[in-house]
Order: sequence, then structure tokens, then C-alpha cells
Amino acid sequence: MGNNLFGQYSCKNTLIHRLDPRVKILSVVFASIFLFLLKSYYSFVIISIFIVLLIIISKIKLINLLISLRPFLFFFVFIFLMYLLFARAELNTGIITIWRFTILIIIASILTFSTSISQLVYAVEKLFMPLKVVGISPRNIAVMVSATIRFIPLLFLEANNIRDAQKSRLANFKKGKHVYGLVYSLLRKTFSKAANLADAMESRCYRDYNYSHFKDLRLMGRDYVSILFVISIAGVLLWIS
Amino acid sequence: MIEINNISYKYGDKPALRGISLKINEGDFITVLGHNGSGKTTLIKHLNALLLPDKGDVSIDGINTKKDSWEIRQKIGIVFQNPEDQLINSIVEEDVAFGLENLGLKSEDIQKKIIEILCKLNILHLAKENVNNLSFGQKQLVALAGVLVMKPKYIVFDEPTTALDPKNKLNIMKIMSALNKEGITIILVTNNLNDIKKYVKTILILKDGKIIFNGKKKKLSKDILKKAGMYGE
Repeated sequence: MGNNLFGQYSCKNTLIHRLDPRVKILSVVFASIFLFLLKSYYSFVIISIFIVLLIIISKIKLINLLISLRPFLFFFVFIFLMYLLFARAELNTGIITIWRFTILIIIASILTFSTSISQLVYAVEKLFMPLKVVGISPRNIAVMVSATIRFIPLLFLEANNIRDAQKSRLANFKKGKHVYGLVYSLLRKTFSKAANLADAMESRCYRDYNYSHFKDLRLMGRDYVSILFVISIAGVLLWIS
Repeated sequence: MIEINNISYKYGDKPALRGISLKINEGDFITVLGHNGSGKTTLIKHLNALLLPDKGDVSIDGINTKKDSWEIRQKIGIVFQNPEDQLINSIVEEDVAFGLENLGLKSEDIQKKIIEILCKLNILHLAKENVNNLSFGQKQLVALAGVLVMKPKYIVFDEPTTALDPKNKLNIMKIMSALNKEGITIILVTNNLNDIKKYVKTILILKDGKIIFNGKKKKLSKDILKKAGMYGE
């Protein structure tokens, strides 16, 4: 189950996959803010065409994108109905709001479909480098995120094992006492795993200074072109809006 | 050489090690035997400076564990009992790279060493795999690769065969023997007498935090095993 949460990345040799993850993350952050500045249908049509192009270039299957939109369907229907029932005059605003969120989710999905977790974590580490000035270690943050991602599927598995073991002893999870037993056992195992992991990290010389990286990130020509392209699109859209 | 000089250690008020003294020579293959709670894991954690003794000293090649734990950890690697808990990154090659990143090696050197070690353990085909998709035996090999790639002089295996099937158990024992023949000192911690039958040279038996036997395998008698509560296993 946990694997599905973070198992969206599919390794492909496309321009989008090859882009520096920092560029992709910053583009998504920029787009998330920028989308809220757009108001007209025209600008949303243009950005939608741009998104379709991105999907084609990145060779991401449409069905996968639709699956990533599915959990938000209820939210979209809810917004639409609210506008339809209580603010029919503002229905256009409602449609644009749904459109905006759809684009946001698709952009975020393109990021996760085209970037491996380790690339994302490493990019976050690089982007957080300025935090060193205030005494926060970017490597500690990156390793924490990485270990969390690594252990989530294991914790789901542990939870299932504990639940099955307790069910086999006639546990009834409608009773608070039995739920407490499940949570307590899971927490105990989690802390034990965390302690073991800390030992394993220490014994492999873990430190958050003077370390290197297996896959170092370097900005290439395509990354600079992409940044320029995103800024140009944003300029055109602002002008239209 | 590993020198342990009269060390004692307590968890709260409960003594785990009581006045342990020991020397392990380079190139040795030693087994630490003992029942659960005998102090085996506490002892090996002292070798890697994960624990520091309340009394006494541990030194590796003349370096006291209280002084330079980072240097010590480059000399002694530990393969823990459960590989599940010691794999830090999700992708095999990235996990193997973890220790080398900590040593500050260049990206190209890391890549080279990873390929070398994965080839040595016959798991190169797993390099891009997610560790969560591997079998227990494969995870154990990846955990070992993560330690071996740092080229330690001494390797501690903490009950490595406990959860393995016979085929993987034999494979791990063969690997340990091969590493020992290459000159790496092996310290095998186990509570299974079958593990020591073929490859081990020296045996150390712990009971209630004390050494009750330290000598060559051929000198191990039934009486000693009885005393350790391990006779008949």
C-alpha cells in the first residue's frame, strides 16, 4: 500500500525526465503561485495547451494522470455544486477555480512521474542549503525525508501484521482498548526500528558535514532553456490576463 | 588489533557487561556465542563506538573508541541482525553509496566502488531495484554490500543467519569465510551452534555479561556449553 503512495515515478528517457529536479520543483512552486494570478479563460486555455505538450514530451500515460486526479473528484464536484446552488452568477469563477486546481495537480503529477524520490530528496537538500546559515542541516532534513519514504511501506506492513495477529486472537477494532493495543504495538516497533536505523547510520559514518553525493546535480543547457521558457510563458500569460 | 580492557556497561541499573577483557587479532574469525541477554550485542556495539564503556577501554588499532568514533567506524563495519532496519535509502545502489557519501568520496569513485562490490556479491542486477521489493536474503546482501564497500578491516555480523533459509545461510557463511581469507577479521555473533561448525577459528562465550570461554574451537567442551546453557542445541 505504501509503495503506491510514492511509486509513481517511471524511468523514461525524455527531456522532462532529464531536467534537473531543482528546476522542476521550482517550476512547480512558481506555477502554483502564478496560477492564482490568472483570471481569464484565454490564459487557462493557453496554459492547458502548454500542459498537454508537457504530457506528450514526458510520455506520461494519460490514464496515470487521471488516476492521480481521482481523489480530488469529490472536491471538484463539491466546489461546482456550491457555486451552482449558492452563487450561480459567479459560476465562471467556480469553473476557473476547478480548472486551476486540475492544472496544479497535473503539474505536480508530472513532477512526481518524471522524478525519482531520491532525486526529489536531493533537490530539496540542495534547495535548503541556505538554511545552513541559521543552523538547520539540509542533509538531516533530506535523510529524514528519505528514511520516512523508505519506511512508510514497512510500517504499513507492520500495521497489517499486528492487526492480523490481534484479529487471530479475536480482537475487535470497534473497541477502543484493541485499537490502543494496535497503536501501542506499532509505535513500539516504530521506535525500535528508528533506534536500529540510527545505529546503522552511525556505524556507516553518518555526518552532516564534509560529505559528498553519489549523483551530483549540475545545471545543464536544457535546464537554463527550460527556466527561460517557463518565464516567457508566464510573461505572455500575464500580458493576456 | 582490537583490544578490550576490563570494560563494564550498564543499562540503567542493570549490568550488561562485567569486566570484559579481550584481544582480537587481525585476520581472525571469531564467534561470540551466548543466549539472548548475555551481552553479545552490547559488546559489539562497543567495538563500533555505538556504545562507550562505563569503565575500561576499547581500542581499535591503537585508537580509543572514546576519542575518535568516526575513524573507528571506518575500520569496523557492522552487519546488523535485521537488514530491514539498516537500509537507509530506497534504491539499492543509493543505499550502498550511503557510507561512501559520508566519507566524502567523489561521485565517480562512489559509482566505481558500488559496481565493484555489487559484482563481488553477485547482486549487480539489483542495483536499480527498490529495497522494499527484495527478498530477505537479498536485503541481507545489500546490507553487507553497504558495509563492505567502505573497506573495513574488521566486520561484525550480528546474528546474520537468524532469519535466513538454509541456502542463504550457507551463502552468507561462505561469504564470511571468503572475506576472512582476504584478510578481513570476522566477528560473528550468534546463538546458533550450527553456525560455527565449519569456518570459525576462535570462540568466545558470554553469559550474564561475563566471558566464560575464550579459546580455540577444538577446546570447547560439553561442560562449557552446559555452563553457558547451550548444550544440546
